[in-house]
Amino acid sequence: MSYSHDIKNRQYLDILPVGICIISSNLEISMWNEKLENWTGINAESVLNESLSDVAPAFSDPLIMERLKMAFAGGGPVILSYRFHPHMFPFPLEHQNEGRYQRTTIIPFDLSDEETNAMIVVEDVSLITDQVQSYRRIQKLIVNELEERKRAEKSLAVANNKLNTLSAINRHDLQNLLMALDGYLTFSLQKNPNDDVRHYLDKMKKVTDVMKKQVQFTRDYQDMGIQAPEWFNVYDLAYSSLGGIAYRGVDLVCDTKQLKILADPLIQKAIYNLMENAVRHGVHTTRITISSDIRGDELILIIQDNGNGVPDNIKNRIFERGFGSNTGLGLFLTKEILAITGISILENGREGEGARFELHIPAGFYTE
Amino acid sequence: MYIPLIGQDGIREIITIGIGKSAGIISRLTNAHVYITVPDLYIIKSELNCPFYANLLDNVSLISMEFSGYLTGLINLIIPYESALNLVDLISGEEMDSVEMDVVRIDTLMETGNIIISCTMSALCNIIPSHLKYHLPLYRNDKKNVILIDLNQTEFKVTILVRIRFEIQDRMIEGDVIFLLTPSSFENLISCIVGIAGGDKA
Repeated sequence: MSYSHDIKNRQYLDILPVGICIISSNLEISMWNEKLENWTGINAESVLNESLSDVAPAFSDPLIMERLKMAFAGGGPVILSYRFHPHMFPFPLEHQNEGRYQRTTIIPFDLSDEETNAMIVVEDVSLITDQVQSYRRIQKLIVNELEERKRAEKSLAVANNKLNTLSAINRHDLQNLLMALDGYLTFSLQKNPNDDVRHYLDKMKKVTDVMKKQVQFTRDYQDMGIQAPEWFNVYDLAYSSLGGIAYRGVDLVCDTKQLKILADPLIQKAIYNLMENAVRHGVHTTRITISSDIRGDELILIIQDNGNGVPDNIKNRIFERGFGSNTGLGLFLTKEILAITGISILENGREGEGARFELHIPAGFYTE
Repeated sequence: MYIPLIGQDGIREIITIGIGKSAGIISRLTNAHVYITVPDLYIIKSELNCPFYANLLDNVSLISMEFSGYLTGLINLIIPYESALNLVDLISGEEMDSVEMDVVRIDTLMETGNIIISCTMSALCNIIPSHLKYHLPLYRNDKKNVILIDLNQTEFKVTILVRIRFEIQDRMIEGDVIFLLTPSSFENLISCIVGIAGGDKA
């Protein structure tokens, strides 16, 4: 049981969840509450009138002593942080103090007609200190990871830049060679070759045209994934794409005036490809409709036309590289561009009723 | 408000003694060379504002302690937020990447501020006839203008603004100690100084 010399209602101090000790101006202990008994294993009665520094040796530090004297001389409360004074009232066994932190406050007070006393309040702040240390460790890990990522991104940007430069040089050289080849084929055809030779020269010319288109494609898409994603208004994307399609008589109905999606800057080409496909492969397409729907966390952007639709037997292959009647890259690259910001695409229209593309946009990548 | 020259000099001397003593204690506590100087001291009757304060939207850390008795008022230590982080890191010897004043840092700053405030109050109490009553020190951080508005709204209308400069490990950190006193407390303080100096208040 704790002993209180001066405080009548010392049981109030016993029920508090902090250690409390009261000392006189000559630094003798006059009160020692139950919590301190529990922590230190020192009985209250045994410390009455004992010197504080004898019972709690940390107080014999000249610096602490000087601050105690200053407090008694009118300097006000003293705060002993757990950074510099973690164990002012230590546990009896050394290992019990590991990972334990105390925050100590010394509050001088004058009772009427008596000398100045001081209440020493000790809080166990181990838990919050531990949490802060964990938080700091996590924060440091995140900072390191971010720095690592920045370094990797920088290296990647440099590598990409070099690859693009190399690619541009090769493309330029290839274009020159293709132009020469095309010229020679044209000259050859002008020399009135026999039918067999003309047949093969025509084929060679067609192959050359495809090669030119392929080279053109590599130029168009070389920047895919290089620029940071941006927000694009779907309505604007659709109308600007339609303007670029050299087909007349197609109505565009777009119900997504406010919808914005986060996408690679090449999204313009992706939308253009989808609309160009609707016109090219739909054959008699007269209307393209763009609408949206929320399903769970996702937003579904639907691009639908009233053309021929996609035959059932090729539905699963239209996004494959090399598949298609033109370059075989249009829908493949469209899928890749969309995937940069987590957007997936599928086609689920009915053959004969028109194509229907669904773009699945995850939460956080669209705003309405 | 008339303030005799001896009163102004006395205030400066007492505060300089208190601040100097606090530097010694912080040095010994941290085993680092810490110097604190008082380059400027102003006594202001009106509200705290420009030209003493610029960059009003910057964040600052504030440690304040209220007292009453023969002198009634509020003592505040104000340090720019980032400087406070640097100060804590220099004092504790921990170089942290974080720019957040977490509770461990706050506790270290509280002890540092407490030493400065206690030493200064102790120096003042040496010349007044009775002990003061104190509230526990409080910490907060906020924008400078918000803190100044709060300080200006107190009942303590006389301000002693003390610019202090910490020199720790070749780094310089500036802060302010601001005493806010009731007019009668300020009169009491001046009377004590004049009395000790044996001079005439006029």
